[in-house]
Amino acid sequence: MKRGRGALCCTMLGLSTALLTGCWDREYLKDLNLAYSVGFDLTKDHKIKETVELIIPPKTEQSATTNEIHSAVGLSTRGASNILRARVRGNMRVIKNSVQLIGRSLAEEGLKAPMDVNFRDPRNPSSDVRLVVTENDASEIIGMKKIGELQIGEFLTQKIRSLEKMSLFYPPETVNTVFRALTDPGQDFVLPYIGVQGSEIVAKGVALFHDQSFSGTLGKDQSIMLVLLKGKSGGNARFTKTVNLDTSKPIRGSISYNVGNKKRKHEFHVSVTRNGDVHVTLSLKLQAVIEEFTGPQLLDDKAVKRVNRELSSIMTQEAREVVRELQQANCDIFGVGRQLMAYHPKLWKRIDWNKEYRNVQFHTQVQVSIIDTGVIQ
Amino acid sequence: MDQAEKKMSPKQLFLFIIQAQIGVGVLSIPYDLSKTAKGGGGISVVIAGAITQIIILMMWTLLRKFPGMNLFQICIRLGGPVIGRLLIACYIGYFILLGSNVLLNAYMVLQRWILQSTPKWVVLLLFCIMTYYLAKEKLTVLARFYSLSSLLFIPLIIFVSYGLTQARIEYMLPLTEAGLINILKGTKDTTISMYGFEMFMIVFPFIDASDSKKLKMISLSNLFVTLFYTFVVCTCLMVFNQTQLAMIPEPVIYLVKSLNFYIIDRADILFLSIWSITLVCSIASYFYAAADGLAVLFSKKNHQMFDPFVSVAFFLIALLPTTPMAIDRINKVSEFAAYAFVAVIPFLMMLISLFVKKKAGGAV
Repeated sequence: MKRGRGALCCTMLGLSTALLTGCWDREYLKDLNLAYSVGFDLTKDHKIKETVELIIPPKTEQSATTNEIHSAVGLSTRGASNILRARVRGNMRVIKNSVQLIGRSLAEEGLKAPMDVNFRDPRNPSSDVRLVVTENDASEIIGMKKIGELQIGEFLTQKIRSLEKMSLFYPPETVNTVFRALTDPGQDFVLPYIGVQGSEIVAKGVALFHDQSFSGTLGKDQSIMLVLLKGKSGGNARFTKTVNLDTSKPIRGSISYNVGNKKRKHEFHVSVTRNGDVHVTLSLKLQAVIEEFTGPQLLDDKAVKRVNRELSSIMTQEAREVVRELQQANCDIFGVGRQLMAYHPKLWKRIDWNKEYRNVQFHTQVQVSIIDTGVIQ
Repeated sequence: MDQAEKKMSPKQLFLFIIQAQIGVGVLSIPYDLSKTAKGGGGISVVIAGAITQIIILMMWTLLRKFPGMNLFQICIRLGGPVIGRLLIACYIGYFILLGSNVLLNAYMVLQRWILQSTPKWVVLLLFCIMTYYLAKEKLTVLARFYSLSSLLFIPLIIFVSYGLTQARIEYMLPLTEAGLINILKGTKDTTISMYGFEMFMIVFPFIDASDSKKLKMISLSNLFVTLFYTFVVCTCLMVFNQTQLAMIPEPVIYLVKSLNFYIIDRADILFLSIWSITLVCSIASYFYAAADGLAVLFSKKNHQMFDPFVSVAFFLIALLPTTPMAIDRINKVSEFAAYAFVAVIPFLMMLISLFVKKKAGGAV
């Protein structure tokens, strides 16, 4: 009896060491090629070109990592990856991926098909991967390999993060949020839009999307305005405008202010009139901190009042322009359609949102009040 | 039964039923509900909870008529040695079927999300060893283990609550989009995650409390489970839109995966590892019930000698179906078996018991 029990114990121990170590689902870091950044483009014959930046671990401990750029053309995203795998040594994995670039041509074609693998394969990270649209080919940007001292993937990630803090793009659009917006008929999305100027990579603003395809762009200031209109802020939101301080004499000065780090009041309300017109009230109250003022006079109470009025009118004009461009691009970034679905389902069933969105009447109002002028008046 | 020298405390009963009830089903109810009830999924769950409560009341009326007896002994008392044993055999079959169904679904989830290249038999074997080890013990040991592992609900709830940061109430509205009939139909889809409370009929005599206290405890655990499910379903309905839900069979895990915890990128792996313990508890409950049934069937004092057979049965039944269609079929069969064995048969037994009692009273 006792011997039997001992034998049983031994077999159990043996079995558990053999079985519990997870022999099948393991991957050694040393066997992997980590892709830090990936870019997708549409080729002329409607195939997908995938460009990856692979990180090569240093040979000796002191030296830095290096990167390699590879690209391949395939029928689909995974198809291109498989062809790439045949080219690079070892297994290519995207588990450390933090940014995916999409060429404008592909974005115009639609994102649903090329992004599918991101949503489907649980091994693909999705919660912190930024999607970025590039003005020309994504392969061009990844092909730059190094920007200054930084490797391209690291550079892009840092750049996007810092621009998010400047409210150029906010809240961050990751693979997940895009998945949600792609499948939602009542909500569209915007993605960061970057391009190459000389040897530099420049943020151009945001790319607007309707349903799944690229449909327009907004400039840098407009992008910040869009973030504010969404009721969000990445921490700082800076503008520089020229204001006129006196009606009789042309005393002009440029003024730089930040509206991102103070409390904002945001109102977004969708209402439907009896005859089925959709009205959207979009009003924003901002508190500005003056960071720079180059006018010849002091910002005393009277001047501040006037600047407030001037800035409010400039910002309102700009906000209206942003909304107009959004409607032109058919990009329902505020989710007006979702509001209609939730609160006016009968109307929603009746209308064709793709056409009707352009007829929505936005009532946009921005009010700026200066609350701080720094340490000098 | 002799093995019950020590009885379960009412608190342990509370946790025992929760652990038995919360299984693999909850991971996919938001998906199942999105097909029928749409935004009103939360309401469907609450209705399912209410129906469960009615069934619990019915079982309780049956069980309190036979003090010190559990389901199997009542079967023999009511049906006599032949019909009673037949009924017990059916119940054993039911418990084995449901247990292996949970086992199979647990494997499917793990395979899809984490263990993609691990062979099926290995995962099943590991689960079987674990449940065997647990279920061969006395009920009090099970109860203690369940109570301990109930602590793991805390991280699970935190994980899911974190999803609320991405919630948008508009996704759930309008609540009655699908219509009341579809919401009621949705109730049917939650059955798969509701069962488990029938363990109550097995453990009833082994609880150290008055009958009304027992009822109170089990009602509380049903309340907890219903609220937990409602919370999970509502969170998922608010985080995903309907088109997405129709694509994602396990929205709860997908939700956890899509959360950004800064340090951890794939929280779903953590979530599932913790969840597996809860799954083991569910499977072990069915395992225990089946083994206990076998012991009564063959008039043995304890169930230890039957445990290996139950284990092998679990393993084989879960190993057999490989195609999605076969798995779907086994899910369907389990669902209907649950209707029969959880609702219909106890109800009939309750009716008979009323009748028998009168007759017996008349004879004496």
